[in-house]
Amino acid sequence: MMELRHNPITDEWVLVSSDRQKRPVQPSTNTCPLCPGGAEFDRNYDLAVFDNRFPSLEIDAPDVERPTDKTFKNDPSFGKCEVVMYTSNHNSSMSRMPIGQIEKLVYVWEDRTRELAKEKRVKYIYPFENRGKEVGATLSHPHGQLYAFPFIPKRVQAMIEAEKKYHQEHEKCVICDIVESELKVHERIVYEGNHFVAVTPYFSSFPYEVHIYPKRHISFFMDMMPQEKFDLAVVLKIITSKYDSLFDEEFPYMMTIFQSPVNPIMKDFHFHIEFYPPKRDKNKVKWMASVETGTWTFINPSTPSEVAMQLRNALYVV
Amino acid sequence: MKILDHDIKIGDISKNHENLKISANVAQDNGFKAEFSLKNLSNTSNFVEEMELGEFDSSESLFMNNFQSWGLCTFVKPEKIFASISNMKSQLGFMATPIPEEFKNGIVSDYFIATDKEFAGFLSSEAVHPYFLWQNGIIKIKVYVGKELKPGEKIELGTLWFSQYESLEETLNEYAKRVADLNQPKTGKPVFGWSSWYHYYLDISQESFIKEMELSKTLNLNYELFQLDDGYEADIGDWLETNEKFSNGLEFLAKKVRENEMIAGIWTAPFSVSESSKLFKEHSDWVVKNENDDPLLAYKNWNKKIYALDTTNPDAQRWLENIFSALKDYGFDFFKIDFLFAAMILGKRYLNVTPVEAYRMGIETIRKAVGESHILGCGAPLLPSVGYVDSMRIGADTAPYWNDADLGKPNAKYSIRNALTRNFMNDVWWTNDPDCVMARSNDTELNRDERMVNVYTSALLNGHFLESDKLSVLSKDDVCFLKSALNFRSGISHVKFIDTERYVILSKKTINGDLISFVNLSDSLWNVKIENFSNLLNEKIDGFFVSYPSMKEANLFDSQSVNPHSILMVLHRGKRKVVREDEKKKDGRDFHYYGSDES
Repeated sequence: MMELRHNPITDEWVLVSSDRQKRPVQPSTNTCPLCPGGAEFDRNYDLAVFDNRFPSLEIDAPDVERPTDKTFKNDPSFGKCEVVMYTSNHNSSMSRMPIGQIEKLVYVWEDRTRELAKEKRVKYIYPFENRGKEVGATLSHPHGQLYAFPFIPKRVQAMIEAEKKYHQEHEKCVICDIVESELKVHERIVYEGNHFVAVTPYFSSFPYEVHIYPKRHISFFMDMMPQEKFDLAVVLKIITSKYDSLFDEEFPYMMTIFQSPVNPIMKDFHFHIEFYPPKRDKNKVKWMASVETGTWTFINPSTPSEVAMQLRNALYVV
Repeated sequence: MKILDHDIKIGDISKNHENLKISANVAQDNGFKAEFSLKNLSNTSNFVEEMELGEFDSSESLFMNNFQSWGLCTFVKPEKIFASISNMKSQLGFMATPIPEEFKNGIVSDYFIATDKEFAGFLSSEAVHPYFLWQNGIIKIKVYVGKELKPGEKIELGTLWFSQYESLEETLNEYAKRVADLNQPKTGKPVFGWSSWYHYYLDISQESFIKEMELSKTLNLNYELFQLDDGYEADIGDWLETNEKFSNGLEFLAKKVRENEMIAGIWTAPFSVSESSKLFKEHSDWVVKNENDDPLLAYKNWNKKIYALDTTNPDAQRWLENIFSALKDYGFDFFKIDFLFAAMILGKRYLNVTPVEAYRMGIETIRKAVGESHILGCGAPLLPSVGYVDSMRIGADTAPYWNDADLGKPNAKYSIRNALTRNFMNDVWWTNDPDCVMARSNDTELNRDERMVNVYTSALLNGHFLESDKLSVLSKDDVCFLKSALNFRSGISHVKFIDTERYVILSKKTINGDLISFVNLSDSLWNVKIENFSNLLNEKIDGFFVSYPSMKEANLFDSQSVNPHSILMVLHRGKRKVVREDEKKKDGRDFHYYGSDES
């Protein structure tokens, strides 16, 4: 079973993909399917991108059987689910990868965005990474994923609406203003690069949430100049290295990259990256429980400015 | 320039000297190449010492080189040096020179030398010791033979390459390549390892060694090599017998290291025999003798007299081979062999061979015993070692303090200096060992800048990267500092000499990419502009510069200050050329492989 189902109560789409139950779970190094010579790769690679063996969306999506009751709506699972291999080194991670490797990854994200946007039915391209068992990562080999949606996901739509509203009220981009305010207040800055700044937002949902914003209003990877791509790599390296340094462990997180929708593009959208770590302390997990999941309202048990200081002081390897 | 008293010319030249005939064949070769030989013309055997082959004019400043690992390699003003060491000449032992007598006459540069416009270097040291003697503004080209030539016997004295230059650095590179072409060097992969020496010194124990190994795992340092240095042995010469601090013996330790998936390394001084050792007590006839057939003092250390193993004695050779075969059987695969100059001292041996031949017989015996295992030479005559060692110490011992006299004694400053001036040997003659780095911020007199020079210069030059700290006292910051430095390994670096204390390192393809680094060993501020070195940098599309570790963008035209005793590192980046290769799998899935031409 593979199809999109519409939730008429919230007006959002759900990806129904029962084949994903067959995914492998955390194999050891010698059986890792993502290592060169493993099940997915019969050759060596530096960085690679490939179609997920267990996709929720695919270009040749199967036809769907329409529901008989008109209350319900479905659609073929058109789109693309790609796996983005950061490196062939099984024991690496974004925090341990050389800056140059992360920089190359930024170029790969750019290339995937450009390529996938050529398919006019793709409306939103979303790179992300789940790191750690705590967020459901099934393979420890350093990799991320990328979904090309045939619709604009609900939360992204909310960002677009919020930006429109803010723009109408202030005649400025909301993230441009946030960047300006954070740089002025300087309370929640974790790391300031040449072109990007990492902050624990004033409105953080997760205790160790960090957002990375470009200082300049850019909407896509394609808008970035070489200096900006390098700086983004530096900031990603430093933030993930600081995360690992916090509790001297591989810090779990969800890394989500938000860029403008495609087909059509929205230049008002301000590119940014959000990290949602599921931890609230070394041995404590911040659960997505009833309030968070049911109402989309988060209870943050920490103060962002204090977390910013903690992360500012965290050491890093660069 | 004169060769055998003649103005240099292409063809054969010869000279007779006290029943000896010295011949030279001179050819043009981006300068001149002269092959020398020596023949005993008399009916009697003749013990030959030093021979003069030619001379050329000196300049006020010379680029000079000492024969062994710890000795200096730098620009000197010979008149000044000659005056300053005048009261030390009688103290110069074999550790400083294989030919102490020559220092009474002038200043010696071994193997190669450069004036302000000319370079001269010997391409091998297979039988004789080649050197240059500065004396009253003249540089004499000489060799020391140290062997009795039989009637009619002829020996090769080696090949001299002489060239005028515009860039000393490029000429040194060419010289290194010429030496390599003639000597079949062994060059292997530089290793990242841990050594017990610079924290524990002689106080290392079995328990400490194992504890450090366990801690290295906890800290995720991922050493490739774990090396036991001096301090385990019962005495100098009694290598298989451990002292009371190593109750389970060496095999036990080698096994432990291998269980932790690292290469087991061990230090020895195989050509050194202490006066108190069992070896000396049982085989005093195995050491090099003086004219009176008494054991000849090679050097003093460990508060003991140290004699030199006679590496030409078949029984001593068998003993040497057995020692290293046993260590290899124990599981050691990396052999740091130290104080090697001892085998080359001038003295009486079992066989009538030159000191250089004796040295090479000794090191060849060790190579035979250890096979393809890694040999790191230390305190070693440089040129005769090419082809025998995988890696070589190329400077003085480092130390947790900055400065001392430039006499080959332990200190951080001149250890780093030699790593820079002898970088041209790295990956051409062997893998350079610039000596250990110390990441620690306590138990050291080095400040943060000095530690950064020590650790990052070694990383950039990409020889061995051996760390020597007590890991339990490293702060979290020290560990991050060390791990960050590892991101500057694996590159190819060239060093430009500005003067004796200021250097520019141009590095390509380090883990963190290309960069230019300014090393200021002096006590004063150095103002630099990247622009002044831009002709040495690779062309990059949309190139830009980023200072390290601040990661702030730097301007090509801005003047930047390099603090005394510090390194300023600037990453050179540009638009990346990322290429994609698409592949359609049989199951219909798309695969895209991405690659790039640089790190």
